[in-house]
Amino acid sequence: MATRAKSDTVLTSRGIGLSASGVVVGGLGVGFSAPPLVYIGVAMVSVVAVSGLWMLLAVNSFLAEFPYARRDVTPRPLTVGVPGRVTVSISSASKRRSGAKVRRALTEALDIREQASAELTGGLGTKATVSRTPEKLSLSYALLPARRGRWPLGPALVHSSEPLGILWADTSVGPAELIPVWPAIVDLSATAGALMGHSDRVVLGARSPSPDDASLREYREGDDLRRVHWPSSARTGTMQVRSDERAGRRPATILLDTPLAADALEWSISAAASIAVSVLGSGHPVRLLGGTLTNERRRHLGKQHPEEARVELLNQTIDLVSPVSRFAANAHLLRAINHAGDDLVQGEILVGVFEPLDAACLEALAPLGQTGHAWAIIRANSDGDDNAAHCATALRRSGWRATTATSSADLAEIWAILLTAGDIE
Amino acid sequence: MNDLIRGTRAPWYATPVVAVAVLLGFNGLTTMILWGPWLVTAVVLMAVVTVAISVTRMVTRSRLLPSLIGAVVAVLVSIPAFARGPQGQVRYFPTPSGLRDLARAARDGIHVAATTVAPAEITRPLLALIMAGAFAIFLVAEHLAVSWRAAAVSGIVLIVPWMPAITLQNRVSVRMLLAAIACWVVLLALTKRPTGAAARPSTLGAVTAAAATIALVALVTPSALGGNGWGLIPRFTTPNGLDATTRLNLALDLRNSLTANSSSPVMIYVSTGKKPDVFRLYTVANFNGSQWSLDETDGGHIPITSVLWSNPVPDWNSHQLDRVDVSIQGLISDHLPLPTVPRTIDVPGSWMYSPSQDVVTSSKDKTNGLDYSFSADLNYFQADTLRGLGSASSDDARLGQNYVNIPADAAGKRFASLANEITAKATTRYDQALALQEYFRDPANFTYTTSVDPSGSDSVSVFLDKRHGYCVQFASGMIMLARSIGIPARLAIGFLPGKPSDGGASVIRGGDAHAWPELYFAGAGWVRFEPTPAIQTGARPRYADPLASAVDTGAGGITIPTAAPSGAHRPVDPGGNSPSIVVGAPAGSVPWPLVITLIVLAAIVLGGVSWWLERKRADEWHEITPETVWATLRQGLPPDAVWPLSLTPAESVDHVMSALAAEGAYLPRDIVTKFTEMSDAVADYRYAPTGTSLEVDKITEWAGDIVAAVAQARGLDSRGRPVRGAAQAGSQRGA
Repeated sequence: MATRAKSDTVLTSRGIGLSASGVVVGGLGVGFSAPPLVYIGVAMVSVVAVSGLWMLLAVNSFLAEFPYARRDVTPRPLTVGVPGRVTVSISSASKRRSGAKVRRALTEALDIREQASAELTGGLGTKATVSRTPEKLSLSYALLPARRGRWPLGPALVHSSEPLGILWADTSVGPAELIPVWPAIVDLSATAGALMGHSDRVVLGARSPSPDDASLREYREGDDLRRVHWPSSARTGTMQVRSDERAGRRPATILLDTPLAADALEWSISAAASIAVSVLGSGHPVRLLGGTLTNERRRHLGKQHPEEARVELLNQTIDLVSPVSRFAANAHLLRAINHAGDDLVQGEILVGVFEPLDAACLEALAPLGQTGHAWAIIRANSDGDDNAAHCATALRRSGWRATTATSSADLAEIWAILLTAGDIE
Repeated sequence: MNDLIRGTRAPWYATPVVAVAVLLGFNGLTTMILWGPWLVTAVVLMAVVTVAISVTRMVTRSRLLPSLIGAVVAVLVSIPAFARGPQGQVRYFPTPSGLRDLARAARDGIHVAATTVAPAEITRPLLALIMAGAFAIFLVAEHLAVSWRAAAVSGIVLIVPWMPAITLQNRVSVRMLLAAIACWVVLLALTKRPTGAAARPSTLGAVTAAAATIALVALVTPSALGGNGWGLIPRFTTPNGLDATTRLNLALDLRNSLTANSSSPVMIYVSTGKKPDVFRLYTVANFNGSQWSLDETDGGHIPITSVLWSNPVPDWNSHQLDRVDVSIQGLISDHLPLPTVPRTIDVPGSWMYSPSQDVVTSSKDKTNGLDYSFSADLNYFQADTLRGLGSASSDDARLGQNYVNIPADAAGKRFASLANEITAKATTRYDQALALQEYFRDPANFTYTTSVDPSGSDSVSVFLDKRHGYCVQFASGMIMLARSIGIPARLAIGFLPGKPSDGGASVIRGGDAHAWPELYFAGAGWVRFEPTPAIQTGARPRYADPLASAVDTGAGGITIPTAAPSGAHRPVDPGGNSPSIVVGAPAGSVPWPLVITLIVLAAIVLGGVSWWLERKRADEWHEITPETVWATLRQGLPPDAVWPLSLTPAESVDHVMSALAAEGAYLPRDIVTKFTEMSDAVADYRYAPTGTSLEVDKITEWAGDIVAAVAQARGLDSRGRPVRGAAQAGSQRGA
């Protein structure tokens, strides 16, 4: 709320030269009893003094006239790869007519800039637009977030200088902020229905629901046509299917194994988040486990408000970091697997984004595949990564549907294949 | 990034400012050249070159090209202006002969400059030389300031024309110097890269900054002049070959010789007997209140064959004569240095004697490098003889009005009453003169210093008020007082006898330059007196020393200051030359510049401090909203009563109440009402389109009440320690 306006005043090399030579020349003038030299020396120092006074007045009147700084970042939070825009506006306190001329002069004379971290600008130079009115000085520039995380932005610096080029000052206005950036999300909503529908079918094979259990929901691709509730469809004009109440709320757990390498981490997080968001989008509660996320007990998100859940889910991913070692990563994963296994709901969907796993993890994962709704993507370092392939085979043996994928692979494609093709060889 | 766009084109509008600064630099030559119509030529030539450079800068982005074109144009315009063919025909075109003639004009200019005595009449070759220098300074300064925006550095070049004033301590117009400095400051501003939305620097800003700077300089500098450490650094003594020759001249202030060139040798002489008291160059009678000027007419010349004196000298050969051989080193003058007593001289060249001024001059020859000798009766004047002349006024009328004239601007009546007061007890002209001399020599009355206050049209009155000055002031003062009581008096300028060096010779240096009054005694001629205290002058002339004839002068009633030093070259007063002239000024005179400077400085300091305090206070800007008050209230609550941020305002109230209730504490009803209303206000502020209607001040006040009430309800004392019993009692009352 309260922001300290800090002003860095810098004496330029001209200022340093003038004040130093002014003192020397003036001193020589006095020493040699040469009045012109004294005048010249005093003038050099006076120039610096006048500049200082000017600067003082300029910065002070700026702070007095424009006390409100505000930064708007749209969209907020930002998402990797999605362009955003920052607008910093410094607005005047008073709407008085009388000061308009002064304010106009102030805004005309000032430059404003802001430091944004390279992760936010995508490493490219940003072209900022400065607009000036007597009431407002505003700076607007584009962002192209390149990495997930929290990145510093600001404070906005107002650059003021006096006419003699002896001093300049950067006054920081408004606070510096850490801007959160969500991981890149691949839209998997088209296949999410298939995921949930697929599991429904499996469930149905086991039990026959009574009409009391059924409620209606809209038809989604992949739903069993036998479940379409024709009378309702006829009434509403859209396809309605009977949905097992419990099955409709069928939760999903996403297991994330955090890789050591930074780009691999981003890919894995992006994959896990994309899957989680698409599952959420299809109306199912979801929880994300793995890495440091398992440190506290996670509830399933999205039982009530899917949109809030989406925000919270993505916020959870912002602070994920690579583990210090493979060992630590395995420990995290084991904890996540145990956590998931402990309160696995009947019929819960399990999706894992894994690194090539060690024996302990495979052992822990094996029972989870028995339910028949467990999917896994094993991240391979290259196409011919034997570890990943072995790991995928091992998981398949224990009932998982598993595939390998490299960081460069298109997630949507892999996902579609994994879901729709059933058991993948 | 904007700099790339704005910075490519040099600020051509700064070029004329450089030109003006260079033209103002001519003032640095003030005492060396005479002003005249040539100035128009200089301005026109400079204007043409300026326009050429500015226009080139407008059309090209090159840094070098405009300066090159400027140089070419400078040569082109100089040719018709200065180049003349062998027959004096004007050259118009830069043909080889035109260029050759231009170079010749400049070479002639160098010759003229080397041989002419300042102040020089500006002739075509001299102007060619001056303009060549001016163009060079202009082109370099302009190139630095405009092409490279190094305006501060260009000041080093712009200072060059002022160097004579600085090194030789010529007097220059302070106003012109300040104007040149103002130009430089404007230049600083105009060549600065613009910031913000401006396409070019604001002229208003430039002018304001320059005006502020000049005001500050004008205010501060006078207090530094003559201040601490004034003249503390000794000037370099240059080898003889490079020595600046002393041009002792009226227009060239005597003070320069006393300060600037004080150590350069002027002449060397050997005397067979006594050393002359002084060597005199000029005598002048015309005084306009602030300046002495050479007489236009000198009353005719005669050859120098006989004894040279304004009055006839009988029995010349019976006088005791001393022969002095003089060799002049660094003095360029058309007047010959001679003693102030009757003498015969032996000098090569066409030298003539002017009896009315009692000087030997030449229209063709100069003293530089001259060797000559003279024989003089160095004891020509005797105190008794002079006193014996009585009022000695018989010839006064013959001398002419010049010698008793008091300038209209001067306070003649004041002089007369002062002179009458000083000479009240004197009966003869000699005693009057002696009384005046002693009045000025008294260290209780006057202080010798070469730094003098600027004076208006009546420098003598200023001197009598301020009571410090150097020989010219002392001499002028005595002359004016003498004239006010009818004694013809004139100013003489020359040298003191200097100091002995090796081999019996004596050396006179620039620092020995001196001025003194001469008073007329019918029957004796012009007699030198010495009113300047002994720091600069020698002793009094032997015939004018009241100590030597104390018995006699006792009758004249002259008070002889016991502190008066009789030894030569002893400082009158150790503090007399000390820096604290302004501070030590008599109580009657207020040092206004100092006072004003102090007041202004105090105002600046006060303003700065108050601004700083104000700034400290205004540093943090809060906008107080119901939201901030709500947050403050939350912070003010005990930890277990703090509501989670997820709660709505209404839920928060419930949370606090239940948290308190769990402890068995209850809030009074009015506080609960306030709390509830406040939570509604916060909710309205957050969600209602119109916001809340409650005043923020009121909410703030309530927040304070609530925090206090909560603390009280929980039974906390002022130090935050729980007092259970009190809490229960309070809650019971509340219930």
